[in-house]
Amino acid sequence: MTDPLERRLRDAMKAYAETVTPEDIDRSREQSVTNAGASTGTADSRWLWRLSIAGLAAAAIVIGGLGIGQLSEPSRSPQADPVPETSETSTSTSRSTPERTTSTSSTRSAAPESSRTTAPKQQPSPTPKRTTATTQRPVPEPSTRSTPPPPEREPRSSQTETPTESAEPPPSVMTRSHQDPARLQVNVDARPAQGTQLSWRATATGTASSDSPSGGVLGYTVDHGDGTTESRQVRAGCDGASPVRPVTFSTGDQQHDYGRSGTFQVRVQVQYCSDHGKTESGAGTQTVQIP
Amino acid sequence: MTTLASSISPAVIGTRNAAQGVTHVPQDLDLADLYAAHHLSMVRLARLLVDDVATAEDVVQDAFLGLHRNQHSLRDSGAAAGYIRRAVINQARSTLRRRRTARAHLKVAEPEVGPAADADLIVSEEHREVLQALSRLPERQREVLVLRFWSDLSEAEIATAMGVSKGTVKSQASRAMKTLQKHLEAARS
Repeated sequence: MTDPLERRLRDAMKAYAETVTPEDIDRSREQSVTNAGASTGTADSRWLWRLSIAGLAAAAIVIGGLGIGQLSEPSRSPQADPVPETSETSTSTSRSTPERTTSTSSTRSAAPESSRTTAPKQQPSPTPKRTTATTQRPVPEPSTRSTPPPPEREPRSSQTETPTESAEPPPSVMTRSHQDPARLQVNVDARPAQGTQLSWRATATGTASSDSPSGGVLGYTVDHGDGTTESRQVRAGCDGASPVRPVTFSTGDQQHDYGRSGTFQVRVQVQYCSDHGKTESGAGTQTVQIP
Repeated sequence: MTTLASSISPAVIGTRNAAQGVTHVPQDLDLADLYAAHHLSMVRLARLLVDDVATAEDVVQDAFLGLHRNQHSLRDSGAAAGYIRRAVINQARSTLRRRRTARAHLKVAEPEVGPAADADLIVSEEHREVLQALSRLPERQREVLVLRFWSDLSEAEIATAMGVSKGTVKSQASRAMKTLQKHLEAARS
């Protein structure tokens, strides 16, 4: 490497790079990055909400099941409570003995050997998770996960699921929920300019199906509120293959002359690409007083 | 990952890259702070790799969003600057690849992008000659030179940023300089 060439390279690169000044940079992108941070935060909190709702639903099912169990067997003695430990090993045989004799179950429950026959009888009693998990095992797993528990089944079988599993959506819903739905929020910034002129600018931030952070928007329509509308097309259509990603779009500074004073509502509707090639739109309005 | 922030002391960062708009970034910063500290220098770096400012901004924005998505996998917050630089290089590479493919197959699909019309007027004749020769280099060689002479990275740092070995960096740099010299001599004659 020759030193003069290195120096020339450094100088040339520095000169070229410095042609990009802070003024050349699109400031709206900064907002987009901030929004992206915020939207990811809400996605996390959305999952937290789902989990907590799932937990509450599972708890409600368990409590409801216990209530039903106690109603159906009001004479049952509390001695059956310790038994669920033993019923864990007796799941398969317990299904083969459907008849119930509650009086014997409560007396036999303490003996591990006899628990095979008593296990089904103890089902209505309040039980910890371990027991219920084993009673559910014979049920085919895909059906319990993808569909809600069948109504004819004993309430306890639905209680047996762990909170997160019981409230999880079907697989098809889960797959879709991995991708955040496209949604753009439109903000209109309109203010009176000279005379009866209006200066406005609309910004759309959020997520859309796009192959670049500044893409995804098909066009926009502005209703100036005085009976005139204006449409602009940005791109021809949605390809359906681009991922849903955070995007920022700005109409840039626009002008409109009302020709008279008054109060007008400016409404800007932005059409954008949603996932799977669909088209969505979002709108923002602002009322402006022309002096 | 060896990064600017993790491998060099903050004081060094502050002085070494002051000219490039990079300032020392404390360890526990959020995305907005990182953006404020590194955005301009990363756009400049991306511009040296992809030519036009708009694409460079796209590249850098993608890099920052990528950092945000993967921030949990970062070893420490000091690695963020290195992560962004590497992401910028990868994104720039992808952009150039996409651009080439679009030009080859769908001539109308992607608008012609390149330096601004007045870009040549802003840089001097001498610099323009060097930049033209630089733009004719293969992608990797150009990346090595840009990281070496503009980002001021060491061979090890360049290797980390580009995801190649130190030996590859050395050989690419050597080849790039020779080719550059040839291009410049040819242009002069």
